[in-house]
Amino acid sequence: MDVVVWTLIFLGGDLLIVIFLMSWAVKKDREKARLAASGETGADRADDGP
Amino acid sequence: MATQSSSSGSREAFASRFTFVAAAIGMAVGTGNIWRFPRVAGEQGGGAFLVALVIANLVWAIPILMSESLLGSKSRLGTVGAFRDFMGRKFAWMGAFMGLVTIGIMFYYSVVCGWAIRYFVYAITGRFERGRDTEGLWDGFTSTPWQTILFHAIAIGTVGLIVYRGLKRGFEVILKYTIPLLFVFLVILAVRAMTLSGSSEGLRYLFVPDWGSMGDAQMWLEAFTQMAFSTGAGWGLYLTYSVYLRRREDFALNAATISAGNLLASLLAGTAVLGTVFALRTQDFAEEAAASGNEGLAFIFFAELFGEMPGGRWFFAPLFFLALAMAGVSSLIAMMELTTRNVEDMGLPRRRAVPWIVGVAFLAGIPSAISLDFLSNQDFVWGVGLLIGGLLAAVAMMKYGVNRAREELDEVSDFRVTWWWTGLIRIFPLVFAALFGWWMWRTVDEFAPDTWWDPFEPFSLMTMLAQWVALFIVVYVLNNVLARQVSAGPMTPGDIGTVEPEK
Repeated sequence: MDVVVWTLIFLGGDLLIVIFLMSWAVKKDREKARLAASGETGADRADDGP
Repeated sequence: MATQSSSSGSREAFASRFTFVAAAIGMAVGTGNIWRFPRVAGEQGGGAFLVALVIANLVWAIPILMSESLLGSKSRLGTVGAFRDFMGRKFAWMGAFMGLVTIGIMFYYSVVCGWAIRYFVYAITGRFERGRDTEGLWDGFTSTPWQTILFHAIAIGTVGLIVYRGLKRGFEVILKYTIPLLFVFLVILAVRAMTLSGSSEGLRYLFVPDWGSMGDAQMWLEAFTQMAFSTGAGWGLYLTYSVYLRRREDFALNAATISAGNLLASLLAGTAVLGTVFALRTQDFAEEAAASGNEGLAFIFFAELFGEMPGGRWFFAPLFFLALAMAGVSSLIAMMELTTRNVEDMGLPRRRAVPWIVGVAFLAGIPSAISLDFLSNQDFVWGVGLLIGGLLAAVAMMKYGVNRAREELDEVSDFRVTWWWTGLIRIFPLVFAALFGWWMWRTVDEFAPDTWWDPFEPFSLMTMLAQWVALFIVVYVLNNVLARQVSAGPMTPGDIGTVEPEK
């Protein structure tokens, strides 16, 4: 039982952290892209790449 | 094509944060995640070691990765130019030292990637049948110089072709697909191991904490060492990829994601290796495998088990060695790009720089391909030298101004950089002194107690110091030439007197 618990804590926990961080990064990227599209100049958008 | 302008010419940029993070995880995940991590983690107390590793990531890797990212993305230059523009032209040698330590690793790491490719070829031709003498196979391969040199040439040549094509047509597109695929392979291998009867003992060895070892100083130092070698912090590789970072990218979130992704690769590999070893053999065999070193674990002990595993000979053996080769090559790509970026900064176009670098790396790797002792010596000298790279990145932040650097990191980070980053950078020299001092002590007390003074002894203190000092003298003497030769970037003062790059 302790093997299952500790495997879940370390392996499962790290997997969840990676998924959370990646999801957060994608969400923030989308927010920035939306802000850039709505309010900033073309030059600013170019700075952010595609 | 996404490009960014700088006074040193236009730079390509990673198309998205996903591709940047994938490339950076590829840089960090190397053969060490697959063959070093499982044996060190098990030996050092399983889950307790993992707790120490997480702390080491927070204290060492993430702050240094963020520093490297600021150096690369703001200067838009390789290691030499970045240190020159952050610290002043007297300090270009620091960037050269950091870069050359990694280049020293590239020379033998290509040989190691060649081994993994060779074993992948062995695997797809069904060489890992039940009863195979894997020690004989390893000895036969490594004592045949034309084979080790050939596969070293294949590794460095393949990476050369990828880097020659640049970011958009070369390493970005390759890494965007291969790194997720590498994780898929590791998951398959880990799931296969977990479904073998008896694998739970391997998981116990890896994950269940031996809390008694938390008070063991050596366990903490092993954790910091594993993390420093594994994440790539202080190598200059993340600095190099950050040159191609889009503007207004989040430094803290990227560094945390890369550290967590690198740890995940290690945990999956550890599950696959230790789960399989414990399921098919006894703990004595596992401990003997762990004591046999990196190559012994992967190429002799683990390879022996594929013939005994259902589907092992034709499916899991090729998958394991393909994963090992992909992990190695993705790191080798970053090492060659670091070299190329610095040479390009000095005015040689990529199309001319890469063939030269491939040629030099091939020749410089031949001694390691021929002699395992030479390779081990180089791994020892430049592996420990990486710790100095981390210190140099921290010193660059201090010279530039830690608070100023923090403000610049904060300008673009969603994940706010507060006192913790400035505090960790300021105490970094103390952490470095503890870790570095421990390594120095080990070289005298453990690795070569009777011959530590002999520079021709592969693991002596003197061989390490002699090679570092030789490198230091070269880069320090060449400092002004390097500072002048590297082209100007967005941060370069107008009076620095750089040479215009060749178009």
